[in-house]
Amino acid sequence: MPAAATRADSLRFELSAVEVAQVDAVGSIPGLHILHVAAKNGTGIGRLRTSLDGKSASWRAPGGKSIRTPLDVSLDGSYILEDGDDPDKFVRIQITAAELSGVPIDAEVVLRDLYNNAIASDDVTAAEASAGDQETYAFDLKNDSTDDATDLLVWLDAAVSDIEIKDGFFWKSPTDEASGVGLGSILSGNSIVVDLRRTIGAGATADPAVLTHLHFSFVIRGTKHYLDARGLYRVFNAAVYRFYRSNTTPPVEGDTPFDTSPTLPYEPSATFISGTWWLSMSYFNGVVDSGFRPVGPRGETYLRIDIAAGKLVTSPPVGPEDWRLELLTGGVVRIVAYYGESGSQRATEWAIAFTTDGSDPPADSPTIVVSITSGGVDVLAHLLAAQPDTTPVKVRLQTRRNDDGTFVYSESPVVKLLTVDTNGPAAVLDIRKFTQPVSEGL
Amino acid sequence: MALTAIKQERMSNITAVIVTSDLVPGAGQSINYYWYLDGVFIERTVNNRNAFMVSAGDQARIDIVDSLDADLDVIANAPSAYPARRSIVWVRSTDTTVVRYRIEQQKASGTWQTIGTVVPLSQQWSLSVLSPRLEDLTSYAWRIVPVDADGNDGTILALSAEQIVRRPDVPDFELTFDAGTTRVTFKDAA
Repeated sequence: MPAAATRADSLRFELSAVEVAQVDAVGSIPGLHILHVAAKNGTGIGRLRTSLDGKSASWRAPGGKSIRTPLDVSLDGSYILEDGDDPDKFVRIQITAAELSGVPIDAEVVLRDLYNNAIASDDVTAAEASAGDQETYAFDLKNDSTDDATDLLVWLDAAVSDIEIKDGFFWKSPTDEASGVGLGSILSGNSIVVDLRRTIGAGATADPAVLTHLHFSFVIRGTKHYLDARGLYRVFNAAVYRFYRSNTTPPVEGDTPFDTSPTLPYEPSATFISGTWWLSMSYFNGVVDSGFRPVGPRGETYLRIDIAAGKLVTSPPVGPEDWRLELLTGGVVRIVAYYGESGSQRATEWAIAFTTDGSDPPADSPTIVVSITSGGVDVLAHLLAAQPDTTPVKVRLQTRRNDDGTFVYSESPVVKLLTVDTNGPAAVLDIRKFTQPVSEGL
Repeated sequence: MALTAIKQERMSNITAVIVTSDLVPGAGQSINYYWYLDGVFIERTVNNRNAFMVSAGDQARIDIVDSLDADLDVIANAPSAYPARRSIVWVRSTDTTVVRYRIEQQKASGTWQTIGTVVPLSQQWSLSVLSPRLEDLTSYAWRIVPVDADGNDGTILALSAEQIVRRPDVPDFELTFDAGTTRVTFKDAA
């Protein structure tokens, strides 16, 4: 197994002589903790494992299939554990031998990208994203090995589009090793500077996680190794409240807002024609949207208004809080529902529509009407007429209110189905009688 | 395949969340529900109901991932939640005089405030605490203070400050309608 600083871990990314953390690792084994994770491991869940006597350890990178022969870690010190499939995916660990447990342990290690390290630089502000921005920055690549590193190349991951690498006097953005920028050699104990330039176009869209991802290759002790460098940054836009509306269906998260404003209260210039409107609102902090709040009486993520002839009219009652269909003997279907609402909008009747031919029962056209108690809270337990075996019974359940002779129905998108079963179970397999008593249940 | 319904029931400070999945388990399979609170993975259940403590006036974002895989990678499959909390994780001191750890938090370069104390169990190598909900677009730092039986603070280990960028709190709002202009006004209802 390798000694430290003889293979891929020979080169270290540094800023102001401090090693740059690129991937965050959470997870350890008693007596063992992780000092550094090679960015080439990527993100996800890796595994640390100790052998039967607990004195040897191995590492499997996220997505890895195999484990390398465990490394003896029975003495205090720093060690390199390499992945079984790709030795360039390593972790550098610290051993406190007296704390090793002496039994085998298999531990998950969660790896996540870090924001705003020296590889990714800082976030792009809303002003920079609006006007466009170009920023140059740099980090050091230090050779910690006792051998020289040669044939050093650097290139961008194919998914990266806003980063360039300085090649002498020119900025380049190669995306494969063949066209990589040559950085020459790094003598033992020495460092080189890697210069990067990030260009953000004017009007850049907000992004909560942009990955800067570089690849390096180099040769040390006659063997080629690969390193990654990675980190995240954000692109901010202006923070605004976002307003959503629809007169067909309630808005859902992800819809396009019809207006925005940095402050409240706010009156969008859009007007509202007669009809039913559903409105929602979210807050966008410049990079992440809040989503919708359950502001309605049933936890709806919208408020509803009803407009007629340019005036606000009373909205319909809410629908059933919860309801279900139950199958009883003889092909009878029972509808069980709960309703609760206070105030002048409350319903006065249950409105039941059902079919037995497989078609969806219509909305706002009940087959059966049942009164709701005046207190605004009611439980429905209504039996439908018995149906033949295998009949598909479909039910739409609404509530309604009589507004000066016109019934106003609750929203009711749900149609429930129950297939009637009138057949009892099959007969017992055998029946006999004996002259002697027999234990019950025998 | 996805969750088809998410329902909330609130009783005092407890909010129950009930979800419906359209996944169809095969023989010997169950639907697994992976619960995330404010972006932090909490637990896996095969029950489609879970309960959370949310004080009046407070907010919590619950994300649920449904899967037939009982060993799902909860990091790789985590929703883009932009968590409002941080788990502070540390490896214990090897100094045998430590009897407890004090966890301190610093907001916006202000004074350090204690957010918890952990008494380590024997042989417990790694310890952690979950931070309170953190303010959006605000800088926070944390540090661990080992303390001995006499109450003496030991050597402090600190994390560098982090600018928290999380999913912002959801605004509460109300509407007014102007019949003259047929326009609505959105107002903060908080």
